[in-house]
Amino acid sequence: MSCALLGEQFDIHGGGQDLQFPHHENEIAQAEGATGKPFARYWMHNGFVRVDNTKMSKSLGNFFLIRDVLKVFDAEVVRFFLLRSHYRSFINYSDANLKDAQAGLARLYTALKGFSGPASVDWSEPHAQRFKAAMDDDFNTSEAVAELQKLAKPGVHGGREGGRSAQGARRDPRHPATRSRCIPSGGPGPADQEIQDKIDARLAARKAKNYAEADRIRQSLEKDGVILEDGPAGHHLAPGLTRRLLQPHVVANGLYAAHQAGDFERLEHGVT
Amino acid sequence: MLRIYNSLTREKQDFVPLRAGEVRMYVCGITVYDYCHLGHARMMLAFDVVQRWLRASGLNVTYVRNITDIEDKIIKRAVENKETVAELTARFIEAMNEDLRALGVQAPDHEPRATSFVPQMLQMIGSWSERARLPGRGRRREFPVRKFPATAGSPASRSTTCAPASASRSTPSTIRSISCCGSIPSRTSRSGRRPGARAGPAGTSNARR
Repeated sequence: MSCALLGEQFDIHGGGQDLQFPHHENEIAQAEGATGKPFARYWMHNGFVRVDNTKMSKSLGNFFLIRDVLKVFDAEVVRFFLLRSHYRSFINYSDANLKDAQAGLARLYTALKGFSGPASVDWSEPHAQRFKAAMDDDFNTSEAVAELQKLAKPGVHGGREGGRSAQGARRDPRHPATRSRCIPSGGPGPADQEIQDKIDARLAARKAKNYAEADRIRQSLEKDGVILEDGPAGHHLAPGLTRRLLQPHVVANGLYAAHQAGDFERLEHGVT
Repeated sequence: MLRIYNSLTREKQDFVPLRAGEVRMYVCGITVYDYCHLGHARMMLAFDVVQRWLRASGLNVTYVRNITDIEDKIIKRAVENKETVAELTARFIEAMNEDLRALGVQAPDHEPRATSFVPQMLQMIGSWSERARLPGRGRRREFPVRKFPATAGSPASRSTTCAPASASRSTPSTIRSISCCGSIPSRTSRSGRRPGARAGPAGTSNARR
């Protein structure tokens, strides 16, 4: 089939690591046996997803179906989880690792808040250069994502356009007393006390499981230029945050397209 | 300069396409007899990023990812489910597409199904016979890897004393489980010893009744 569609010789042949031998050895022998010419030039094999350090596979019965995982995690979180490691390394599947990916992705999107597009990538910029160098080095997404994360860190040049000067008001999410992370999105706004009152009211609403009210307050806070992203105190706003952020059209095209489209307002508020 | 780790040479190499500015890429897709798991998702995503980055780098990419829609496991499952192979594979191809759309995996340029390429597979098997004057033992065809200089140095030829691949019952009327990636059942696999199924054009049942 490859020969029929691509010719007897082509550039890249890929597949899972488990296909390397004997499947791909067979394929080379068969194709070269038939054509007498060298077959594919570059052979790429991706690593396994492991569960408890054993390969995930149907025959072993230790697999997680995509559709089942998507019931719990957003598709883009799963995508990010699977892509933030280098393709040749193995990935260990666990809820903790997925949640970590979820938090990482939320941080990236949060860094984009206040950044109005469309924007184009300046490839001479040092971060962009390092991102490109990583991708050109055997598609090293692990390094490339690390570069994005550096960009997303507070105080790093190139992340957001607005709100940089307001970093002082950012609370430390690692501080045990911080139950919610408060990220000013720039511009003048209401007094701190008023915002704090709203945050407290929202937390109270959440505790009372009055999520409609909590959402209403959060939306009101967003109008004030404050985005809430719940911290490690047991609240689970992050999934909701990413769920709202990641509409299907964005999921289908990923960060890059969102970046290209500059559609962050739409991302933020959702379209459904 | 893009560098790619080549499993064939076990080292990173500068990527130089055969035709300047153009990349032809083939990836072994999924055997469609069940829902896709995260291992499949990773493979699909890994090569999705590869083809996206190649395109972003200005290369003109032709990306082919096959669907294995005829194989022993498929036939076995269809028989268990009391449905035709075509019904079973249609269901799981749709499910696969649903999952991949959700994950933002771009569709390949071509997505050939094994059942549509049976004549080409037979032709390839025929070409070995011609080139190597393969001795036929009944309806079985051995693939003598050492007769092909191009493959004589490959790990397979070193690690096996016998042929790594054999095409069993390779007559045009009855082949069995020659899958999309050319995985004619290996000599060691049990598949070559099981009663097979008639291969027909896509859309017909290959399940034995």
